[in-house]
Amino acid sequence: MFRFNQDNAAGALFGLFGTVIIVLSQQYPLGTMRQMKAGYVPTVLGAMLIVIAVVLVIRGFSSTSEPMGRWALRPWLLVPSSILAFSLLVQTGGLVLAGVACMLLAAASGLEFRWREQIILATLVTGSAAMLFIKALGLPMTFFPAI
Amino acid sequence: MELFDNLILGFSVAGSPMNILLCLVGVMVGTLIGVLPGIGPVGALAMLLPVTFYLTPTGALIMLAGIYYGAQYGGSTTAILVNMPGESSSVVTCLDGHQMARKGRAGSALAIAALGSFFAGTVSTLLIAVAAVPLSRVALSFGSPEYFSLMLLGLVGAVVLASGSIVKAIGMIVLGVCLGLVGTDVSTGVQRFTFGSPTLMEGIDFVTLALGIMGVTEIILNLARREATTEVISKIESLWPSREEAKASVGPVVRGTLIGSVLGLLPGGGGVLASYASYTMEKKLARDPRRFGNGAVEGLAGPESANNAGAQTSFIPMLTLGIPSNAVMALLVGAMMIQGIAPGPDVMLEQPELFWGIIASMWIGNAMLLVINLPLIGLWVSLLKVPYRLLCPCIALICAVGAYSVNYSITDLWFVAGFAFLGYIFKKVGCEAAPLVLGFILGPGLEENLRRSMVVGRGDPMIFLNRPISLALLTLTAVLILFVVLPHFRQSREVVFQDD
Repeated sequence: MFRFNQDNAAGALFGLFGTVIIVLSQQYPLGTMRQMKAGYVPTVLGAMLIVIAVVLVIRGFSSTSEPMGRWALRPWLLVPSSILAFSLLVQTGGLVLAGVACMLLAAASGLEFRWREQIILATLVTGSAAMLFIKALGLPMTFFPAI
Repeated sequence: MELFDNLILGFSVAGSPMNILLCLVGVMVGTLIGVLPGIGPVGALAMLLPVTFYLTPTGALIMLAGIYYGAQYGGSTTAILVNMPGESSSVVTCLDGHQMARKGRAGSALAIAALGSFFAGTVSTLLIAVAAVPLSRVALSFGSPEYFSLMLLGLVGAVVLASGSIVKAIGMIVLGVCLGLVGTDVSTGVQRFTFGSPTLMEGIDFVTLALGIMGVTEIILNLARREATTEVISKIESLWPSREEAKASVGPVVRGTLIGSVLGLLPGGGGVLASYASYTMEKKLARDPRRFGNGAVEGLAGPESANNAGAQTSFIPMLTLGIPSNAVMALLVGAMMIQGIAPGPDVMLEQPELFWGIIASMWIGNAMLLVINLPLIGLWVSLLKVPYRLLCPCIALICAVGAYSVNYSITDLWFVAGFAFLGYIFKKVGCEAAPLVLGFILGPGLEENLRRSMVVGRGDPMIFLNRPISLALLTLTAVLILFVVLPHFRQSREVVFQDD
C-alpha cells in the first residue's frame, strides 16, 4: 500500500513547486545562453527541482525513509491564524484588540489552555506593548477602534 | 600600523554611549534567548529584524551580533544547569558540563565555560581584524565569474556541512533562489512571478520570509513537541574553579579556540560544527577517554571555547566577501541590505567605521558577558521556570507587531502567516529552512553574476574554468561534493549529527 513518508512527500512538494515555476516562467522571454533573458534561470531552476523531486520519490520507496510522524494540526493552523487575526484587526480595531486576539489564538494552540490566566496575560502584555509603541515610540497605530 | 589605526577607529565607534548601550541590549537579549528553551538565536534575530529600521546601520549590526554570541553564552548556562541545550551549539556542553554540575561543580563549570569563551572571543576578534584586510583586497579583484563560483561554493558548503538530508537541502536552496527572483528583473525589467501584485514588484520582503519561516514556525514546532521535565540544578557554590580544573582546561581552551576559528571560516560552519570537532579531539587526546561524559573538564572547556571562536570567525566571510556561511549570517546580510548596504569587500573601504565598529563591539560584548553574566546566573535560572504556555503568546505578538511595523502593511502579515504555514510542512518532510533563506539571500546575485559572466564569456561556460581564482573556488566546491559521495566521510557526518 502506498504511504507518504518524509522522502516521497518532500519529493511531491518539490515536484509541485518545480512544475509551477517552469509553467510560470514560460511567459517570460528565455533568451540564449549568451544573452539570458528573464525566463532562463527560473526554467533551469524549475528543472533542477523536478530532478530533485524524482530522486526523492525514488528514495521514498526504500524502507529506510522516515515516516512523517504525527501532524500537530492545532498549532499548525492556529499559530498562523493568530498572525492573520492581528492583520485583520490592527487597522480597524486598534492595537489592543488585535494584540489580545493574536495572543489568545496563539495560547489556544497549546495543550494547556486556561482562559483566566491567558486573558490576564494578554491584556497586560498588549496594554504595555501599546503604551510602548504608540505613546513612547510614536508608531502610527491606534489603541482602540475609531468610532 | 594600519591594524592598530583600524582597531582604534573601531573602538571609538563601538565605544560611543549609544553603541555601548545597543551592544549591552544585544548581549542581554541574546543571553535571555539562549537561556529560554524554545527560542533560538535564528528565530530571535528574525523577530528583531524590524527593530533595526529604527537604528543606524552600525548600531543595528552591533546589536544583532551581540544577540548571536550572547545566545551562545546563555545556551551553555542552561546546558550546564538543566541539561537542556538552549541552542544547538551547546548540545555538546550538556555531555560533560551537566555531569560536572551534578557532582557539585556547577559554579566551576559555568566559570570555565565563560572564561574559555572569553579567551576564544578575544583571539578570534583579533584574527578577524588581521584577516579581513587582505581578504577583501583579494575580493576586490573579483569579477562576475569569481563571484558566481564563490556563491556556489558558499551554498554547496552550507549543504555539506549542515545536518540532515543533502538532497533536500539542495532542493531548499534552489527553492530559496527562486523566491529570491520574485519581483522586477534587474537587467530586463520584466515582472517575474508577481501575479500583477504591486507588493511583489520589489520582491518578497526578507523580513516576512525570515520571520515567518524561522520565527513563527518555531512556535508551532515548540507547541507540537511534548514538554519534558528536567532537573534544575540551582545550588551554586563557589564560582572559582579548583587549581586542577583550571590547569586541565588551559590546553583544551587553546586547542578549541584554534579549531573553532578555522571551522568558523568554512561555509556552513560556525559554532555547532566547531564544538563537535573540539569534543572529538579532546576525547582522542585524553589519557583516559572514559572520563568523558562523566564530568571531564576538558570536554567542557574545549567545545565551549570552540563554539564561541567559530561563531566569531564566521563573520569573516560575511563581512569581507558578503557570503553568509550560515542562517545567522544570512539574517545579518539581510539586515545590512535593509539598511541599504550591499555586503561585500566595498563595505570595509567605503564604511570603515561600520566594519571596524562591529569588530570592536564583539570584543566589548564578550567582556560585558563575562562581567555581567556570572553574577546574574540566579536571574537566568529563575527565568528558566517560565512555562512555554505563557511565553508563546508573547512571542506571537512580537512577531505580529514586528512584521507590521516594517511597512504598516497588512499584506506583509499574510506573507508571514503563509511562510509559517509552509515552514511547518517543510519541517515535517525533513527539510530545513536555513538553506532556503541562504538561497533567497544569494539568489539575485547568483543570477546576475551568471548572466554577466555568460555575456563576457560569449555564451561559453568555460569562462568559469579559464580564470584561476574561479577555477580554484570551483575545485574546492567539487572536493566538497566528493566528500559527500565518499562513504567514509558520509558515515562520520552522520555520527556528528546523530543527536540533532
